[in-house]
Amino acid sequence: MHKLAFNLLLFLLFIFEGTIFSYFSLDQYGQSIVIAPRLSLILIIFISIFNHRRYGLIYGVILGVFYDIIYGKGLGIHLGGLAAIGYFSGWLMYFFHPSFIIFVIIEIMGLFTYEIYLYGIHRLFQLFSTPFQWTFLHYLLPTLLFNVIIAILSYKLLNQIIKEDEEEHA
Amino acid sequence: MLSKIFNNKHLIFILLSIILLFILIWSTIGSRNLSWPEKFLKDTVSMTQGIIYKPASKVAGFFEDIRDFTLIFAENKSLKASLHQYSQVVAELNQVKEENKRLKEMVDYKESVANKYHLKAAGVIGRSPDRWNNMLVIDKGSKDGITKDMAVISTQGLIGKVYSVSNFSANVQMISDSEHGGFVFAEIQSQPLSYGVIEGYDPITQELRMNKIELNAEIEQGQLVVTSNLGGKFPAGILIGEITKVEQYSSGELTKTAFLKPAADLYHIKEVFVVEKDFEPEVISTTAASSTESSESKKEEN
Repeated sequence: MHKLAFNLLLFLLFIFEGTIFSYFSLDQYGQSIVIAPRLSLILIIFISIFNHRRYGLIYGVILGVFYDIIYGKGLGIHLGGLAAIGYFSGWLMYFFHPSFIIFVIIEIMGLFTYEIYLYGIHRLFQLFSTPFQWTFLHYLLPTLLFNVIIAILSYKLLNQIIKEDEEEHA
Repeated sequence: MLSKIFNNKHLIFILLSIILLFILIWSTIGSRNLSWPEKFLKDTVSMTQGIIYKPASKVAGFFEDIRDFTLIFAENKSLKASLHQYSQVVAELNQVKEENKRLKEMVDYKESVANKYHLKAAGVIGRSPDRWNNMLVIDKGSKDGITKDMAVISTQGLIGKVYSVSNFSANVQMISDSEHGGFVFAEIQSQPLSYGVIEGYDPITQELRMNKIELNAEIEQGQLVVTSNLGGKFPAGILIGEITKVEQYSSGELTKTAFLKPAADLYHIKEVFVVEKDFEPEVISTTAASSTESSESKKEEN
């Protein structure tokens, strides 16, 4: 794997989420629908599936610490979710052979689990108190849809980076 | 099949890490002082954020300007109309100020130090991507004299308060953050004045909730709400919002609840002002103590 390229890409995506994407957020126009970009999580799941779950875990932990320190309210909230999803999406490769369809299914599962996990943990620690049904319709579904579309669109590009690397190594 | 892959070692490891994770979250949650590795990481990342956010805000501002072109003519007209009113208001204000000064002299009134403050401008360099928490990252930190719990305002009104501080950057918890808990002591400009606590934001109605207002307070829709001195950390008189709804008897409690529309635009923020209070209770108390001591010593001398 081309480590430096992925490291840089991951860091840049993380920065973009908090800077450029805030100009595209829908709620600034008075809408109550929230779309949260999860670009780095998409990449972590991709690496975990097509490379090794170990990298999914490592990147998940690092990105989780970044999230928690820069935007979060306590260490460990994003760390736990990102590390677990990063690891287990690669772990599923015990049962499946990595392909486009499997990639899409695992992206959907991972992104959905992540949002549900975040809702649960924010409810648990009383950082968020809106009822689940409303949150599901206004936060979770739009976020999931947006990110799955981004994941599908970026599949080819990411695949190319990995393939070029394999050719270089071979 | 599961038992093959998930042997006991794995399971114990996973359970232990979940327990450790919860202990970690529980022990670090809330507004706290950051340790130096956290500060280092935060400063490094926020530097990169600043590099990217500022050009992006310029581009976004350009498109906003184009959109505003269509509105400018109508806006100009209404601004001119309000300008006429403004000059009259200024004249009135001068008169009232003069009168106020004269009356203060008459009763020998001393200006209270509690309400003196100055503003520190800071640029916004990032914002939390989701709405589980609503944080702004600004480019001024403890090296610029910013400390925890300072009020943060824009030109339109209160935006939030400083949540955690690093050396060259700080996080601002916005008033639209949905965490529950005593957030800001507030004063309603009713006749007579009444007080309450802003206790959180409701994303469904996009309104702030203000609790613990006295039952016989005469509040109604349209009254303005400003910050109050009672909390000790905020200066008084910063605009928070306007009352949109009043709940007379909230679920058997002995207080009223009001809902406010925030006055400040909480989305298009490029620059904020951190409010630094000149008044520090410790300093005042020590000087007071020393002055009493000196007077006592004088007495002894006598």
